[in-house]
Amino acid sequence: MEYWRWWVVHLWVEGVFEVFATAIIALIFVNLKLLRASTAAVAVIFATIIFMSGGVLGTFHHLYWSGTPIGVLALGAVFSALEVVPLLVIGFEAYQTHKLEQNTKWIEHYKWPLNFFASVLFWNLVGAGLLGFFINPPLALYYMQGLNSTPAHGHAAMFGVYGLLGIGLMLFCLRSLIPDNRWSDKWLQQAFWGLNIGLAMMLALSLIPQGIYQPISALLRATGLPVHRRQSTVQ
Amino acid sequence: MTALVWARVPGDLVFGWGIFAIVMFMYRAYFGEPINEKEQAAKA
Repeated sequence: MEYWRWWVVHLWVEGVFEVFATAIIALIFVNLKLLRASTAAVAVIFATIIFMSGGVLGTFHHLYWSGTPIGVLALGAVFSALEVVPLLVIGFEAYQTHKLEQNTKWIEHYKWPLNFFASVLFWNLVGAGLLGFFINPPLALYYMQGLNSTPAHGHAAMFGVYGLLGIGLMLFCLRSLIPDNRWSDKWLQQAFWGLNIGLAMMLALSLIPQGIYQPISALLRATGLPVHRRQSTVQ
Repeated sequence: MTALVWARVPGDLVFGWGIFAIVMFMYRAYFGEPINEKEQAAKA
């Protein structure tokens, strides 16, 4: 039962979350004139094609070692790696425009909501992209299935992308609702750096070292992967 | 390996400070004193 519950969640994440994140950020950046509508449309259509058809193929990385044919393995590896591309395309153009318009007053007005969106793009690259790819190649999945490298990817992709996106969207709306004399940049600055640095520290100091230690220890001591999946291994 | 488990704590504390700051931002926005004109001018 657990397996199917997890499978439903992952298909939902691949198919809906990534499209939603790309579409909503594209919409906001176009409204803020940080992004051309043509680039946004191409990126969103590309994202929809990749996630709605490719997102399903992207989840094939879960089938690598279940007796699946080599073609499925290849499709899964390629589409898993492609998933972060559309949001990065949007982020790159927005960054270029942001550099040109950095000194305008309205950019300053939306500084912290935009910074939260920028951190979404960063964690999409690092959390969903690099850490996701770190555990998804066929060889890695053979030796690292279900170790602490998986929650490292989970933390960075879930909170890094969707948590910070939620906060960014909330601040974007609040910017129009809260008068200037009650808007405190000081607390937002601390929130932004606290959440981002705290998340990075969780990964760098604890989850990633544990995730690296477990497979190395399993290989060197030849005790087998199941032993190193136990909680007692990292305690 | 206990060290790696406890190594999680500093990140949790910094992250917790970020959560506290968001709460303070919201409190300030809805219940706090308005920022005076001098501070606003300094912000601008």
